[in-house]
Amino acid sequence: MSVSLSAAGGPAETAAEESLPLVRIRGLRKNFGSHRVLDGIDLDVREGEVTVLLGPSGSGKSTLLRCVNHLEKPDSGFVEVAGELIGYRYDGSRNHGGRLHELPHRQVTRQRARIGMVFQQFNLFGHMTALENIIEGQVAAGVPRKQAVATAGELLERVGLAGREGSYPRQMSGGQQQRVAIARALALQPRLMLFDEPTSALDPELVGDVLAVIRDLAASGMTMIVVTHEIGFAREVADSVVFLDDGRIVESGPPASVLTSPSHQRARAFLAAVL
Amino acid sequence: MSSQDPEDQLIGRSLVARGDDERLLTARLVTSRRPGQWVGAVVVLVLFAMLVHTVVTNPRFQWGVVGDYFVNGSIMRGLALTLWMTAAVMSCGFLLGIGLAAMRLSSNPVLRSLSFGYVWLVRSVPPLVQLLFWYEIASLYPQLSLGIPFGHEFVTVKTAHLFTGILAAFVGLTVDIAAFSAEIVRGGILSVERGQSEAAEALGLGRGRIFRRIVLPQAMPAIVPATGNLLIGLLKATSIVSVIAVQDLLYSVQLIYQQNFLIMPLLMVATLWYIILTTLLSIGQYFIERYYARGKRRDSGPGRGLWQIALGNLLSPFGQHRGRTRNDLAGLA
Repeated sequence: MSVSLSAAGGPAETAAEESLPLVRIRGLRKNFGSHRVLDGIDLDVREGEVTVLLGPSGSGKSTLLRCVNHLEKPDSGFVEVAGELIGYRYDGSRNHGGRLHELPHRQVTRQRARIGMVFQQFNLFGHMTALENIIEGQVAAGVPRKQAVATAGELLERVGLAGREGSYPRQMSGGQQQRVAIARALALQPRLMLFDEPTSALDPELVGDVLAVIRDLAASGMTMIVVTHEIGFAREVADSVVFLDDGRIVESGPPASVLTSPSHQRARAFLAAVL
Repeated sequence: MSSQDPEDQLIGRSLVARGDDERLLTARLVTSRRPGQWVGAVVVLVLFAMLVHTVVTNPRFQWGVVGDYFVNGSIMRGLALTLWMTAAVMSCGFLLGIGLAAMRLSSNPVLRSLSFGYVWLVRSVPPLVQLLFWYEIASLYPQLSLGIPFGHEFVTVKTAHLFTGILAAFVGLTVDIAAFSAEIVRGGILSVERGQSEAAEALGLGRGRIFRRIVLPQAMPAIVPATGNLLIGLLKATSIVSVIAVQDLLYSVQLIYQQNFLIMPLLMVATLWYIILTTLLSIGQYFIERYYARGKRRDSGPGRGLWQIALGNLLSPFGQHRGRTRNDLAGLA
């Protein structure tokens, strides 16, 4: 596997990679103590697609998302983004079957920089202004400060917060903070965006602005995995909806079929409760 | 909800009027009187006036003598030793403390236990006992050597020559300060939400950078006040080095009054210097706290100034309570 996480959508990609989904998750299992959170997840996400993860709380949606950028280490199975194993290096040279070696922290860090993540609680750095939040990742990655600041200005404009460079998180509403968090995640030009319940901590009237930004992002062709409870949003934006229950995928497919006529009993009950 | 719009509230709902509404609306608000507060204030003020009067008029304070010795050469040398001893112990102790805190929070069980054990042991022994222990260390280990563990020794030195009073004082106090700063730093780091370092990890920041740029600055608001307290405590605690004949501020004063028996005025000289230094440190602490509080307030303007806090503290018994509380709440929000 020599294909690296290069800048998004370059034309020079090989035909082999184009046929591969951007994200491939196979046999993913994760336990917290004796509790099995993920129980053998297989999932593909194609380039430019939006995948929405649905399911009751505790079904493993967030854990699955956090495995994609290695914030959680899976117990078995693997995650591959753009043909590159996340968090591990495969060594097949031994006689007694192959081994997955954990990557040094520095390399995991490099992989994470190409995957943007947005959290339920925003997690903006409280001691930094919006601008400083957005440029931090770029500066750490060696982008010249001047260029990082210019990018940050464009991103703030894109999320509807032009001119708010100097605001501290506490001086902004939840919706504004979340939009800065999205700008921060976009600053490193990620190839994949992960959203972990991005609107769950917001007042109802602020949800719309954040969803609008995510919708624009989807329209621009960004590949995204979104954990959400906004069914209407899923119906409108998702290319595929995946329903999790008890650490397993019980239903998946285009939103029209999964959301309208789910075949699995648990999915039907969940949708009846949230709609 | 429609109740958010005041117009909606009025529409379709008639208000019931009563005859005295007008009078109630125009009446002036009178705050409740608290005679007890005034009585308490007068009693305290009288006692305070008596104290000031006796300090000024009692000739046995010998303020003239205090003035004569205030900038005396040997006292200045003692003051200098107190200052650099405090600075050296605090810098080394605090760095050691950061290391101990990092060990305590690491995933390595050996480092974790070592740090815990160190803090437990050092906090259990009074600083005076530690000081005497280091001063007498030569009786335990007559010579110290540098070499390969359990192997060849390169350099050997007589402990009694190495551990003079000053080094014993420095080591004893540093060991003590390291234990206390370790706990302060650990508390500060734990006060930073887990989500902050997770977000930083997701952004692809390295471990060192996360600690330096994300966690530590946000731990500082919890670390600074406690450290200021520790530093002021240390400044005064350096006076215990006088028991092992290190010539600090207090010992210099003692040397003088053992010859001329002007005990009280000379103790006043030392006291005044300690008060001055503590005041300077408190002012420094105020500015450091204000620096690290950035991003903590909702309004971007300057917060309450030094004088406002001082005045607020002085005037609070006289009806400033409400304003102060509101300010503090705004600061918390």
